Amino acid sequence: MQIDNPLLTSEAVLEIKNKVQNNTATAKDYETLDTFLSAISLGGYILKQMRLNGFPTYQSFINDSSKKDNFSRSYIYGAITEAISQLQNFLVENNL
Amino acid sequence: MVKFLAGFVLCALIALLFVVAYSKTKQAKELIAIEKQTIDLLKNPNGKIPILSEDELNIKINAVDEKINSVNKRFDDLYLLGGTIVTLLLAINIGIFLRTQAEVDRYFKKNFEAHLGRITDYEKQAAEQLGKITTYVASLETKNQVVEQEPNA
Repeated sequence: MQIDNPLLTSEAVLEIKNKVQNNTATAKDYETLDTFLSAISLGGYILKQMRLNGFPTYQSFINDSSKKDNFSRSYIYGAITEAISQLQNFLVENNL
Repeated sequence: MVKFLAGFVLCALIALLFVVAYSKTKQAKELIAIEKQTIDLLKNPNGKIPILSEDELNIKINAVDEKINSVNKRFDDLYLLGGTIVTLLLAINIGIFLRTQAEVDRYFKKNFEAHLGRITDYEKQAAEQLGKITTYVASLETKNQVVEQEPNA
C-alpha cells in the first residue's frame, strides 16, 4: 500500500491558490491543502469549515456551485484564501 | 407673484363683501316697504281691503312662483358648480395618487436589479472577510499553543 504525501512547497501552494482563484480547484486540491495546513496546526480546517456550512465533502462544495446560499460559499472561499495566505507566510518565515 | 395673488384675492373678497352688503340693504328696504304697505292696507280708513281681481291675483301668484323658481334655479346652479368643483378636486387627487404610484413602481423596477446586485456583492464581501477573520483567529490560536508548548519542550 502506497500513501501519497504531497510535498509542501511554495510552488505547490501557489498552484492551489491559482486554482482556487480561477475556480478550477478539485477535491484533491482541497484535500492537499488541508494536508498542507497540518504544518501550521490547522489540518482538516477547510473540510471542517465546509461541513459547518452545509457541505459534507469537498466534492459537494464543488458540485453545489449553483447553491443560492452565497454567504456560505463566500465564507468558505474567504477561509480558504486566508488559510493559503497563512501557509505562504509560514513558508516565508521558515525559508521553505 | 404671491403678493399679486394675495392682493387679487383680497380685492375679490372686498368686492364680494360690497355685493353682499348692497344685496342685504336692498332686501331690507324691500321688506320694510312691503311691511309698510301691509300696515297701510290694515289701517285702511274705509275699513275694507280692496278686492283683487282674479287676473291680478294670478299675476301675483305667478310672480311669487317665478321668484321661487328663480331661487331654486340659483341653488341648482350652486349645487352643480359645487359638485363640479368637488369632482375636479377628487379627480386631481386621484390623478396625483396614481401618477405617484406609477412613478414609484417604475423607479423600483428600474433600480431593483442594481440594488439587489449591490446587496449581494456586499453580502459576499462580508462573508469572505468573515471567513478570513475566522481563519486568521484560528491560526493565531494555534500559534499561541505552539508558543506555550515550546518553553516546556
